[in-house]
Amino acid sequence: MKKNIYIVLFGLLLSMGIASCDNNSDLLFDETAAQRKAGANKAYDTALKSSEQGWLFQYFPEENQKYGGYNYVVKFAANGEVTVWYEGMADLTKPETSMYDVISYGGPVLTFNTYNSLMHKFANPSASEYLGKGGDYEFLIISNENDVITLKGIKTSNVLRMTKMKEAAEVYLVKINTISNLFKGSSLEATINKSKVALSLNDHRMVFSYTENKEAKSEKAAFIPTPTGISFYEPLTILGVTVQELSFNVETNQLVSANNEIIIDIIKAPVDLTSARWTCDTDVAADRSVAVRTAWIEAYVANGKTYGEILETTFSLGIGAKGIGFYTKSNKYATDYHLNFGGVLGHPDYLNLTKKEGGFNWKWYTHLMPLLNIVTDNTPYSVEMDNADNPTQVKMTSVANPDVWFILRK
Amino acid sequence: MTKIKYWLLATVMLFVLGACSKDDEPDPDFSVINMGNGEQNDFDKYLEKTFVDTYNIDFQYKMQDIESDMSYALVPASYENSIKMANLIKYLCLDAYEEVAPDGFLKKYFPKMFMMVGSAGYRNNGTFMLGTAEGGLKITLYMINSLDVTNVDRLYEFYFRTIFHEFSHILHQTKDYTTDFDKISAVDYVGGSWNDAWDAGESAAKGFISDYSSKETNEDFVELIAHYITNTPESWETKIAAAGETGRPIIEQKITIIKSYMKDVWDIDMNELREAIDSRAKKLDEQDLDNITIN
Repeated sequence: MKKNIYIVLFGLLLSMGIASCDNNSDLLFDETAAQRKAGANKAYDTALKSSEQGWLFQYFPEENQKYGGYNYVVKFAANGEVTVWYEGMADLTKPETSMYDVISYGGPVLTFNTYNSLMHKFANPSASEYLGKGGDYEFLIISNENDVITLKGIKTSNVLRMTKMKEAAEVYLVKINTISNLFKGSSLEATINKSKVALSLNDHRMVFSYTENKEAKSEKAAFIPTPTGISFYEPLTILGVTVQELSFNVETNQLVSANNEIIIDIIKAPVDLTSARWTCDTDVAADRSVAVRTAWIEAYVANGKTYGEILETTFSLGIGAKGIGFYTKSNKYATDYHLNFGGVLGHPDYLNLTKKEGGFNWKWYTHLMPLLNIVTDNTPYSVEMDNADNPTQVKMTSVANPDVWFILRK
Repeated sequence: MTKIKYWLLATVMLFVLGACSKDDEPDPDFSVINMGNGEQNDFDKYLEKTFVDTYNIDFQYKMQDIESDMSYALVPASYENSIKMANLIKYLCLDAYEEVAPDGFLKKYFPKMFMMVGSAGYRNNGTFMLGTAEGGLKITLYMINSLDVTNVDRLYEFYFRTIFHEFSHILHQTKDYTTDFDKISAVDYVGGSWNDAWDAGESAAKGFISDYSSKETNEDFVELIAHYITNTPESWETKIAAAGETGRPIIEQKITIIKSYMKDVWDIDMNELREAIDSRAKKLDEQDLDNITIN
């Protein structure tokens, strides 16, 4: 028995010996896997550097694209340097240069690997936003076809596009900003298949609220401004209409789909309160009505009772608070409530202020509600400015209740 | 039967000796790990010369977020501030040790990898990490983008105490200190609850130089070193005086052990080291921290 086992073993070894180590077998590829990876990275790197005007990078941060999309132009150069332009930058003639690389990590990955305040704007964390705005700066390269590079954010898995630029970044981004500026301090109203649809705006994301088959629905749609209008992150279907691109009609101030099935009115407010910080000091009798002061006193007393804090006489509207902001004197706490700012269709001098959501620290300060309510319950306001082009003082008077008025100063 | 065994053995030997020897050897000139574009800029060349060749230290300033802790949102360090930090580490730390330590000490024992991160590592409760170390080998420094080279106290607090702390771990892990040290505060260490175990000043009164010192003996040991060498004799006196009648003698007792450990085991005089660091800190504004010229 034992002898047989040895014979079988011997036979097995012999057969292995004959079959193994065929040095004449051809390699499937001419290079090793590592060499092929390096070659692919090099090819992508060469492609990135090949565009004289750089690449348009249509960037969507955050895994649910909740801030919408933003335009970047990125120009790659030798020594691993990349120059970055961003649609929201203060001066388009001053791009910022940092470093990039194409590395292997489960595929070719484009990484912006030294800090660039523009490129890392949505990734940069802070004490109040510990995950930043969920932006990527490492991207898996999926394909490069017909001057379009398709990428996938490593953290968000958002699928993004880079398109070869055919004009200078500064020229292109001016066109983008014309579109972006339409939304500042504006409200929107949609008509889809001739039905009115409520529409609100958070940064570059629209929220459509409508009823379909007696069911209340809400559709969030991240978009990015283009030179001619906007483009949604993915095709959007509402009330049976599917659309991905909307064009801006300058004459009607509308965004429209190709066959006019979707029309969005952009209702400009008489003044854009969202781009600066405006304040009203309720201590100054000439700057507010008695009703506003009474609401402030109510909030002041409630705050004193709750925390023993002294509420500042001043509240703010606009940038920073993203709505209305309140402050306390004794230990400098701040809280805010986010608001929608917009216009009123057919009334170019009316401004609309509506509640969006509680902001920074609001859950601790709900007792300030009387002061918030008097501002939002009496909307819309008729607006008087000291200077229409560059206002520094704005008087807001409630259309429905003229006893409610206050003056904002920049 | 035995014959068959020999046959088997001989056949196996043949396979082993003859098998697959050709063309299958790895090519040492070709890395499969580092797959970057391989282009070296001036700073890379400077680091190669100043850190790699001299101390065998890998100074990583190009972030690979993929490799970092994904529960934190981190951004890369800026190129400009990474240069400043590299020069600061050389000036305030490496050169200071070089002045007082035996030849070859740094190359042999100093942490081998530094990683620069631009932002702080924020947690969801508003707190953030100052620095981390993995196995005494890799030190990660955060907040490089808010580096302020004019504020020495901030430099110590945010960056250098972390470096000195981690380096000291390597030293005691290489050659341990006397167990006499462990006994001094044996009953007062609080372990993982160091963060919320103490009100202001309480840990000092128990003989700990920082709240973190109270975690366990090794942390106590290295915290003391890091604090001692980043204080002037005057500010150290103020610090231990604040520990009061009970805390002060405990801290002094521990420092005495540390000083003789550093002298006997590593031939480093702690007062000389402190003096070397302090005199360098005082001349910090005379340094060109943007310089990446290779001498």
